[in-house]
Amino acid sequence: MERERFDDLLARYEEGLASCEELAELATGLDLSAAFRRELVARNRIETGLHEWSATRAVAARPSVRAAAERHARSRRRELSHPRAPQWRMGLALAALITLALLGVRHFYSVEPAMPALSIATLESVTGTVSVMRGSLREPARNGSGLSGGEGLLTEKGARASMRFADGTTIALSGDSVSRVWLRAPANSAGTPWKQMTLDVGRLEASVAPQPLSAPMIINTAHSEIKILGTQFTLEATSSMARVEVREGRVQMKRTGDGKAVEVGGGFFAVASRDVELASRPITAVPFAGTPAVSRSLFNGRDLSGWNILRGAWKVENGVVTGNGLEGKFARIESTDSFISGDLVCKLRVTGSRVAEVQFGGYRTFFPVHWETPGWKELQVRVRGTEFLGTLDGKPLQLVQGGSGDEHTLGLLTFYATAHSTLEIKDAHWTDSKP
Amino acid sequence: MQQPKLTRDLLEHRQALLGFIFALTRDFDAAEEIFQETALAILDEAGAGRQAEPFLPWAREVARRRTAEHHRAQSQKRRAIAMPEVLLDTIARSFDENEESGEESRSRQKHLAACLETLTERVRRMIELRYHQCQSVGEIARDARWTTDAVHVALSRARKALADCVLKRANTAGAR
Repeated sequence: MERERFDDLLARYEEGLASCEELAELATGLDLSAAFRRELVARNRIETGLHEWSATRAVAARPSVRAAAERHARSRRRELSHPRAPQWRMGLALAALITLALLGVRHFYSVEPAMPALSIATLESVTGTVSVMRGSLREPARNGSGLSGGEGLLTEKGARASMRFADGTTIALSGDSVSRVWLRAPANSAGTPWKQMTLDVGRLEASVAPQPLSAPMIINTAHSEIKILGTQFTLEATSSMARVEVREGRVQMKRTGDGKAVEVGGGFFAVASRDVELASRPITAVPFAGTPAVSRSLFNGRDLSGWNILRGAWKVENGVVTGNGLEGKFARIESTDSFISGDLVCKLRVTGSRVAEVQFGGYRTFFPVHWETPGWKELQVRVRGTEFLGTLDGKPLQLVQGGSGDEHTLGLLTFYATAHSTLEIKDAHWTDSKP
Repeated sequence: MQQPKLTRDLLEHRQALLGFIFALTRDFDAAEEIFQETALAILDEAGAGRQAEPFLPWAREVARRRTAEHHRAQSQKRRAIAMPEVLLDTIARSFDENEESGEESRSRQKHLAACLETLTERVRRMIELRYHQCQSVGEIARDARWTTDAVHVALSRARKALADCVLKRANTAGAR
């Protein structure tokens, strides 16, 4: 573990801001380094010393402390009195307790009433078991109460709570299990308030009002950092991954492990995890229970049954469909079936050119597919009637509205190879979405 | 009447034990409460004539169990987030490896008082608000017109500076 990371984790542990994952990471760091272990002990001793220093000053300043300590000891005696306990043992314990209580007097002197911290968000729509966390303490959350920087919100299974910020941004916390988020409230160098938070675990839904460019909203999870300028999205986090699903607008998801980032637009999602490639993918419909989605191959691997060759030469070899333009013309192949609502997945490769097209409804709607580097690329397209969302190797594709197309081509799927190029297609599947 | 050795050991190592419990809980109120429970358990053992040598590892184990009970109770009350077991293990190991005597504890406290004087007025005030007046980071930030993150960073740096200063003074004193 790098020194800088250890310092960061140690500071978060000390301030009670560390998530469970960060505490586990700190444990790993400590396990590996005797120097880190020595420092953890030294730092904790410093803080214990500071509390003791504080208590010593309080004793000096408040003569009534002794009486308070004795009152506390009497109270402890009532708590601990046991008919079978030998008197001398209890007496010994009480004497020691008084001594210890005098040394550890922090309990007994009154602290000036704390002024409320500056709220940055207001709680609303609290249902179920919801707590506000201050350090390691929890208090029941109430509608209308404020949340300050450094505080956290925790919803138990089935509970829900929303935080509303002054600019109208709302963050709703809920989930099938515990969800926990911690707020931070720094300002950027220009003094602009900066919404920042950490989702330790669970699920949040956000509707974010436009944020200043200099202070985009930032949400951290164990594996990612999400940067938002104004959008609607859902973020789920576990100890091993984070998943952001964007309904509207655009966010940037950065994987903290390697710093890789991806832009996720409306209708797309991305997963930050050690085991999954960080990519923006179209949101696919979740089938209802009992009606599993039906996935089928678009080509049978032997011939071009179910397809009409419109231009060029097309063939099937070793399960790969290949199309070539003839005499310097383009090649085009069109499905006989309609594909109205579902998800297309296939692998494409083009040679002799850098571009091909996947068309829906003739030239009506199509995705130009570009090859910056040669090789197979995975195309995913979500089709929902007239809505199309496509990615190539996880990167969003630009949809082009061609504006032409006959009625008879509605729903048809077409692969298009440009002139002087060869387009290959394999592993092509269509999954019907079940409404 | 002479105190049993366990009682003397307890008083001698009070701060070391309290520091250990604080590391496990990060909550000084809870640490004091657990320390008193631990003290009672140790005094019970002392009353029964038990000898525990060496004292500190045994006392830390007693404290560890009391802390686990505390965490369980807090978890049932849904008031606190328990630290992962793996971290509690490494903290216990860290303290096992870096034991200090009662004399070293007292010296450290003196060095700490001296080191506090070396802090800038602003940082010392922040330490005072945090540890003497028990203010939250949010309250300190509001009063100082700082961000909470800035206060967290300042406090962390101050603790590191104090730890370095105490170590330096201890080494200097040890070299004499």
